[in-house]
Parts: sequence; structure tokens; C-alpha cells
Amino acid sequence: MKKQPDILAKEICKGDLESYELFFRLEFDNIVYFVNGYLHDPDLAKDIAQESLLTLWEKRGIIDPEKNLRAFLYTIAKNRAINELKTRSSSVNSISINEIKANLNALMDDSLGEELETLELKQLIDSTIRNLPDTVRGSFIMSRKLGMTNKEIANAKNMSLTGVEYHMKISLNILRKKLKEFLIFFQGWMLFFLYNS
Amino acid sequence: MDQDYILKIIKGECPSDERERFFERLSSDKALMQEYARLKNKYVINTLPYSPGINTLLSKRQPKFRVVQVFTKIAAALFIPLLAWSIYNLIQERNNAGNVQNSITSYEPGTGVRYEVNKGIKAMLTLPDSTIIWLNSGSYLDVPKNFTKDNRIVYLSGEGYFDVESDKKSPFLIMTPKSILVKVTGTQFNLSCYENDKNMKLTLLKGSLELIKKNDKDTISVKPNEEVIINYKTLEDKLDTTIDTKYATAWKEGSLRFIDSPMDEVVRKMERWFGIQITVDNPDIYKQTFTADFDSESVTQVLNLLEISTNISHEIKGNRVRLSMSSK
Repeated sequence: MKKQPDILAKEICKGDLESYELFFRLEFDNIVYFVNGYLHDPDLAKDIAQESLLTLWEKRGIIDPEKNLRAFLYTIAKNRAINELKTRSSSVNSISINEIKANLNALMDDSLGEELETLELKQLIDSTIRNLPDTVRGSFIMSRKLGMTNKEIANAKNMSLTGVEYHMKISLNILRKKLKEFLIFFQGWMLFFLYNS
Repeated sequence: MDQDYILKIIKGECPSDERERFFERLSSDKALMQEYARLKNKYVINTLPYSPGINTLLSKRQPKFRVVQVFTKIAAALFIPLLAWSIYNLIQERNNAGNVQNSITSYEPGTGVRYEVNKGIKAMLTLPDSTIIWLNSGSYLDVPKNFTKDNRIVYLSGEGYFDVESDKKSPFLIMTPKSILVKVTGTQFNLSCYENDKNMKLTLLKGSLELIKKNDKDTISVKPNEEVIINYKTLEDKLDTTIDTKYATAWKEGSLRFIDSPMDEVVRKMERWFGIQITVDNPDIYKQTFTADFDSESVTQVLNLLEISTNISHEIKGNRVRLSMSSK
């Protein structure tokens, strides 16, 4: 089954349980980790993760498949986490009231959305590189990962300099294309506040 | 206030009284509150347990590398399979500068670097000669300190898919359990040599290679689309010229495949793939064979299918699975 986010989102909105299950298993651990980072309560984090994913399924009819499904999920989880912290500000738990206030503020800060978007971008770049054609990928990794000059790569691979330059041209074109798609598809994380509790 | 200090607080590296004093300060210091929010979000999001991929790929050009430097900068992309109950690993509040790196352990015992891939995950790495190796669960690869493009030798235990950079002057050597040596110049092949398996299996996709048994003057030459199986007990070899290479390399694409596979092989493969422990109640189970093709199914789904097609039932407790013959 293809794991491309746009296809997965469309299938889930249509009600395909298999796609949803795949999405569930891709994201569950990360949501737990995410929520726990602010609440410092693993059991609660697990509950919130499950509830958020369930809510996403329940709301599948009103989700726009053209928009970023993961962003939506994180928004649900974030809002739940915010609610938890708000209701706990009057009782002392594993973290102090002052820390609760600080984490609450962090969750509501713009930088959260920005970090998530950057993460998405990083993952896209990594997977694009992994999926480069075999012949081209080696040159690209040697250039950007190992910091070799094109000449050094040509020597190491027993290739012509123009050959290496051609490899670089191809890989950069592929990356550019993917990045363009990203910018069009993922329209930014700040646009989601569909869920309120 | 120092960014490093705030980061220490976020990571939980400060004693609780210091911590409390810090958060008290935040309520009256708006700038500090903002700084904390920024760093907190950065930290949490960047330590989420997604497969990290090759992290610093598009960072600034690094200085000209020397062999020693390269060893410490080899990238490993980890593919984490979809197993919901592995979260017990993640919830533990460890120092998480890349908790995913806990699953690939590398050490330098003076002679080189070992890349060890735990059960339940796979890894990919690139060697200094730009050979790319995918490692399957439960494998390890030893790369000696003096590995250079003129001296290419590694040791593999487990399963790996190799995309070896072509260099006719300097062949690439892979030592495997039972001292069976694989010699290649430029090739793509899949090598399965788990120490607890009955056989070693090598499937060649492109190029050419030779297998050299210890104390064997004859070498086994292999051509593309051929497969060699060497029995670890008898060291007898068998060359198969009509094989489906996709079956051998399915793991790399994330597929778990069984084609009339005997149950002992199924059990071992599932243990490695999912990172679980399987105990078999009834030895009759081993007499059965199983055929199936899994892409991203969970353990439960695989076990359910097993039950439907073979009458082998299961019981799951944590990451332990017990198989028994169903009386239906």
C-alpha cells in the first residue's frame, strides 16, 4: 500500500479502514511522545493519543483530504494536551504549577507549528534522497554528506567530471520538484483550528 | 540566560530545586518564557521517534574528509516498522538526543566500527567508497578501521542487501559466518547469513561475484538472477538459476514474504521482523508450511492469517507470542 500522505488522506476520508489503520500505526507512537513531552505523564499521553486518533476517524467526513492530515491530528492532540494542562493548573501533579504554565505557553506558541512544518520538510528531503535513482544517489551523498568536490567524486567513482555534474543536476532537479509539491500541498500548519473542546 | 542551560532543564538534567527556581523565574520574565517555549518545541519535535533519515545532508559543505573522520559521520537511515506496542521504549524518559539511535548501536573496539541492527527494525548505511548496504533486523556489520576504497572488507552476520560501488582494481570482500567469503567488484545482491539459520543464501541481481569457502580451492561463480544456498552443517552448495529475485529482496521494500516456507523459518523471520519472542507449544507446528505476503500488517494481523490458513492459534502477552495447534 502506498504511504504517500495525500493518497492516504483521501482514502481515510472515504472511510477506508485499512488506510486509517496504517496512518494510526505510523503516527501513534509519535503523538504519545509529543504529548508526553509537555505533560510528563505517559499513561495520560497514551490516552490522549488514542482519543485524538479516534476523533480524527470520527471526523473523517468533514476533513478536507487536500489538506494535511498529520497537521490535523497534531492539532487535535495539542488542543487536548492544552485542556489537560488547563484543568490541572489547580492541582499538583508530577510537574509543578509553574512548569505547567510554561508548557501551556509553549503549546500555544507559533513556534510549534513551525517546528512541525520543518520536520515534515526534513522527512521529505530524506525520503527523496533515499529514492533517488541508484546511479545518481551515490554521487549526491558523496557530495552533500561527505563534502566531496565533483572532481573528487569523479576520481573515486572512476567517472568523468561531466558525468558527476550530470548526476548532481538530476538529483537537484528531483529535489526541487519534490519541494515545490510540498509547498503547494502542505499549506501551513497554522490554518487548522477545527477542533475545539 | 544561557540557551544551553534552558536545554538542560528541558532534557531534565537539572535537580528539582533548580528546576523549580527556573520555572518560578519564567512567570515574571516574559522574554525567558518565550525563549523556553521556542526551545521546548524545538526539542520535542526534533526528538520525535520518526525515522530520522540522513540528517545533515543539506547542511554546509564539510571539510575534505579523511578516513577516520568518515567513520564517525556515516549516516544510518532507520526504518521503524509499525508495531504499536513498542511504545514502551519511547515513553521511558531517557536522554533523548536521538532516541532512535539507541536501536543501532555502534562501537569501536579498536579494530573498527560495528553497526548492529536490533530486532524489529532495519537500517541503511553508506560506506566511504559509496557502497550502500541495507541491513535487516537482527544483523550486524563490522567495518574495520582500515577500510578504504583500496582495501574493502567487511564482516556480516544476518542479512544485508548490498549495492557495491564498481572498482575492478579493488574487489569488495564480505566475510560471513563459517568463514565463507564473498568477493565482488561491482554488484547488487542480497546476502542472508544469519548465524542461527540452517543455510546461507546469496541472491545476485546485477554484476558478478564469487563465493569462496574456507579451505576450498574452488570458487563458486554466480551470475545475475542466480542464487546460491550453502548448508551451514554440511557446507554443501547448491546453485539455482531460476529464481525470483523479488522474493529475496522483499524485506528491503518493507515486505515480509513467505512462499511455502517451513514454520521454523517463519517463526525466526517473524521474531526478527517484529522484534518479538515466539514459543511453540507443539512440535507438530514445525511440520507445516506457510505462504503469504505482508506489507505493513501488524503482528496480530499476520498471526490471524496464520491461524486461518494453518490451524495454528496464538496467544500474545506483551512482546511474547505462544503458538499452539488449534483443535478445530
